[in-house]
Amino acid sequence: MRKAWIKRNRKIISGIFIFSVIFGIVGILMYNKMRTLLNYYVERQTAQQAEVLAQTTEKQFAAELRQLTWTADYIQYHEAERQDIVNTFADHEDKVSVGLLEMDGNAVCGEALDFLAFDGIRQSFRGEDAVSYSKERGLLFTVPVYRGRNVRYVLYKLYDTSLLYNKFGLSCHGGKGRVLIMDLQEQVIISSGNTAEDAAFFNMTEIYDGYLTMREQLQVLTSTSTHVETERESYFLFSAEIDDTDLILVGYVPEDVAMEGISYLVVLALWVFGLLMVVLVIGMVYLFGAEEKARESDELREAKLMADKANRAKSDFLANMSHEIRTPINAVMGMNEMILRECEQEDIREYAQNIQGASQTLLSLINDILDFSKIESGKMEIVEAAYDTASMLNDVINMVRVKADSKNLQFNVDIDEKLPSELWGDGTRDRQVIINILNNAVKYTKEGQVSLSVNGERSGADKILLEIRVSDTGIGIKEEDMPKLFRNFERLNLGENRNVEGTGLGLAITYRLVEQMNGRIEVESQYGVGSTFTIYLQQGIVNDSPLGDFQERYQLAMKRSRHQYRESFAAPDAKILVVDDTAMNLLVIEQLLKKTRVQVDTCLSGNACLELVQREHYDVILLDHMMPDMDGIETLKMLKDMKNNRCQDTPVIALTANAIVGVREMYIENGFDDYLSKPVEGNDLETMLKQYIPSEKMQIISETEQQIPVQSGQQNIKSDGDNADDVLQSMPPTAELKWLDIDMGLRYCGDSEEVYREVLQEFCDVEQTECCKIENAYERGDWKNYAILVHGLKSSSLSAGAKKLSDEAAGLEKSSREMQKEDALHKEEILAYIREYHGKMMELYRDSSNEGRRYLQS
Amino acid sequence: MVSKKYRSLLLVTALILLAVILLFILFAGRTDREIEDKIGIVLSGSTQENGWNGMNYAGAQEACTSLGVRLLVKENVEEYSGQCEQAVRELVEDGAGMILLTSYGYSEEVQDLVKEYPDIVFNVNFFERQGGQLNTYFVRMYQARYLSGIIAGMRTESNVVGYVAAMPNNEVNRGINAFTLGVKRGNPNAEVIVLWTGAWDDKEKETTAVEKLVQECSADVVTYHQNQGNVVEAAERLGVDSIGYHREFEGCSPHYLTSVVCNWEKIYEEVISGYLKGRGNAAENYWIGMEADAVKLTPYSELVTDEIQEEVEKAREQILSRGGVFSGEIYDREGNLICDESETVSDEVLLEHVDWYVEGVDFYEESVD
Repeated sequence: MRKAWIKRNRKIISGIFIFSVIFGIVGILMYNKMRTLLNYYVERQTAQQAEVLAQTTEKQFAAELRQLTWTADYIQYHEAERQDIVNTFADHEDKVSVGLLEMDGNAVCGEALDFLAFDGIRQSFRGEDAVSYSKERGLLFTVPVYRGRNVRYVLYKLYDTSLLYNKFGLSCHGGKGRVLIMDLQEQVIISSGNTAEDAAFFNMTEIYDGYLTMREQLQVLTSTSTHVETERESYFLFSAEIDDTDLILVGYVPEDVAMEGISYLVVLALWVFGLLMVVLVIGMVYLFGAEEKARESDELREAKLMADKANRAKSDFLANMSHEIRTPINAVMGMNEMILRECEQEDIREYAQNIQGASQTLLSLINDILDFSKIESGKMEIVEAAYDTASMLNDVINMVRVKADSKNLQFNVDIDEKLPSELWGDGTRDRQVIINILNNAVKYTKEGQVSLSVNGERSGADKILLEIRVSDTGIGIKEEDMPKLFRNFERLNLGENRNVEGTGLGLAITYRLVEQMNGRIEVESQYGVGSTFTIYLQQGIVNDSPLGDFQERYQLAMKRSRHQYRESFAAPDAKILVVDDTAMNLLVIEQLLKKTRVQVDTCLSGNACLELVQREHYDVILLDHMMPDMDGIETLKMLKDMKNNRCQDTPVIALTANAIVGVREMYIENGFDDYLSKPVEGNDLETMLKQYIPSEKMQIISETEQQIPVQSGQQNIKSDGDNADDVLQSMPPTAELKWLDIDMGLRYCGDSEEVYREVLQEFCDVEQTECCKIENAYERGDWKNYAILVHGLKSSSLSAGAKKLSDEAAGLEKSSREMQKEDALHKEEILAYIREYHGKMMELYRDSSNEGRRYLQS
Repeated sequence: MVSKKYRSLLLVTALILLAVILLFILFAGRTDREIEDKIGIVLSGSTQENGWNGMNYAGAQEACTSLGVRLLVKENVEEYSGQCEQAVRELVEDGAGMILLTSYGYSEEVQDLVKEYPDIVFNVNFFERQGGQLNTYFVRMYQARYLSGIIAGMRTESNVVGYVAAMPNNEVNRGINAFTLGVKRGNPNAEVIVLWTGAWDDKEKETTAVEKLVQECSADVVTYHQNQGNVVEAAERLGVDSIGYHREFEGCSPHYLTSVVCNWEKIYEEVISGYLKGRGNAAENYWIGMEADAVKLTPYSELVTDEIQEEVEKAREQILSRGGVFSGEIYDREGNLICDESETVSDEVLLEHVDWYVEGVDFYEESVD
């Protein structure tokens, strides 16, 4: 991995390396240059200091000479007293001698001196003041003593060598530097205090070389300094001429002392440069990284482009698929509806109902996918409106209870009685969400129970936070699978759940929907024990009156919402044209509109449509979009452009199985008036036609007219209930009871009406689930269970006073027990009997419980 | 993605910047002497001349070389012709910070120029005109004259020594006096006859002068103070002893005894070094002599005997120890005491006030008359 990293970033590493080397070189060059410049600077400073030191010595010497000159002047004019003058002048210091010399070497006063030992004597005889030195004797100051314009004597003052340091010694740099005075023959005249040390110092080769360099420089400079590095330490040597003498001042100071303060500049610059370099390297790493990233992001962008393409392909695929699947479902469901409407044979109707169920499941799968495609493209809209809380919950429970029952799961419902009865929100989506979660719970629960509880918490004056909790005793979710839960197409634990149907989109859609409604979902689960999904949804309150006992309202709403097909209008004078390339679809629509007595013409292609419109006027044209040769949009265009068209102003409604997002806009943009999504549903179709068929041709069928039964009530369970309900409303509550014998019931209950009411309530409450169970057992031919259930019904109905039902149940119980015996004779006959009376009993059961409910309400 | 073009542009910029940085590091704040010092010299004759001008030029050139400065030369600049002013202006324009004026007349000519160029250092090798920026430099030639005088005194048999001189000034007079003191030391009975030619470089006059001194005054040793060595040539022809000046003569008979020469390189080194040290305008005068090896006698001819040489050596030692040429009892021609027995004539007098001639100096005009 490390190797791979190095390989991948070889360019970066080599780049950084090269830059580091370059910066290193530049840094070293800079450092050297800086040292050179600083040394130069310090050298100049030191040289100036040397000059100042030399001037100090010059002043000292000048003072000595001035004193001598004064004395000499005095002697010139008082030659006779010269002895006394000289004696007076000599202050008799130890090792300091004063004297007066004559031309021939004799001393008029004081000690005679060797002329050759001191150059200064000769110079003074020419009339100059002079300072000269003899190693043996010391430092000699001489001045001429004139007689007239000629020099008569030389007056001298001699300091012994041992005195010189104390008298003329210099120091510099606070004692850290040393200063000496030498003659041109490198003879030390005034030491720095420690002669041996000075000698050792100047004996060092490097120092001596530095000294020679300075001597050379002194030919053109009055003072100079040079930087010398020895093994031990680095020094600045300095030297300056002492004017009017043949002496020079030489000194040295350790580098760190001379550079005090300035050396921080070097350190500072080095640090700054070093750190800058580090920063630069970091920056470079970052830049290279950024470049790498940019390259990666370029790749990503390309990948995203490809993914987008793929996604578009997916959307196209979804659209096509929806078309391809919806078209046959359209046919299946339409034809099935026909069967349900027209068939009077019970068993065929049952099959048709099964087909209906399966088709609806299939359609819901397709709808899932379409929902998902909407959400994916961000076009899923939340449409808020007032909705009836109970109705919404009813729908949910209705949907789920059937499924739960069919899996023999206990479905517990606990609805907070204080929930507002009317809420503001997207009821449809709320319902979808809850159903999805519940369906899921049912789907993944093999046995046990599924519970739904709905509670509300006020979160404002007219706001409520719904807490919808769905728990199950299902297989649960593994900890590690939790994050995948709401992902698209994700189906957990595929091995175990292979036989669970679904697209895997349910939870994903749910999650997105909830999110879009500003709600949230929480999941708790224990693998193998069960899961609890909690949905929180913020809803507005429209009607704050409490929901009350939900069970009760549920029953009421149930009755009201009982579905029954019923034509909503009749229009025998209206004429419409349906164009579709599939004959089956044409048939479906024809059949759906049969009862409305609308005249339906059909044709199979756009071309045929164009022919027809020239001959006939239609009130509405239904035009399929997807057709071979000429599609709906083209047909419409030709239609509108045609001159001899008798349907110039006829509304044209698009038929499409392509019911994806934005399709409506697309059709309207293309000149359609509206669109209908396939498979066409009776209600939708009629609503649409009502809208577009001219009103003068319409005969709206009122509520009462609708009561004309389409099918015989005997077979249509649902319509029966409704009819009963309607009939009831016109009856006084205490009217005679057809199916219930109240007196008998009371008898069974010890003549207590209260007890009887409870018993009757229970009887009514369990009716639906019991019905389901019995129907299930019947359908499966599970005669053992059937017998048990019917047996239960026999006794329970008796106590409720449903004598007739009890009798029927007793008969069926007997027959079903017969069916269980393997050696039973005339099985065929028995089965025929059961078949004949099962329906009758179920009908009785429903009628009896309905009557019971009415009784209870009264 | 950074385009390739952009990247290469970036790289080139980086390289240029790097080069700039390196150049900056290498050349910024150079510690070397930035400006080359230039020094101008004005000569009245040619640089190739075998005498005063040639010697001056050679000495100055050598000094400049050893000190690392450049010498700008203006040769054949005639005195009192206005050429000197022009030459100085040109030299200043060429960047000379110091002008060496090597002829006596120049010092008079540049009096105004000196004021015009206060930043330029002028040096003249005559002492009469000094002060301000006009500095003087010379050698204690008199020391060598004195030594050569001892030789002449000990060599003369006619007790007459001839001295051809251009014109009287401090320098010439000092030379005549020192020479005469030397002759007297070598031979107390000898005298020196001076013949003025009135010109620094006039072969005919100089030759005639030698002939006159030898033939009319019976001088048997001659010396001179002229720019060139015409006197030596004439003496050779006449077969009398001669003592040269400025340079050593080659291919002469033993009658050519020695030459009084000075080491111009030494003096110019001192002068130029002083200028470089920034003392140029301190009106400092340079006067160095035998102790600095600035003046000497060239190797003697065989006619200079050991005895003579010993005496000369003794005198040299005295000069080096006590400095005495003008020391002890000295009277001038009029019998005035110039210096008492135990006195020494100070440099001040020697430099500026040699308007006297010591006892023993005679002048041709007087002696002929």
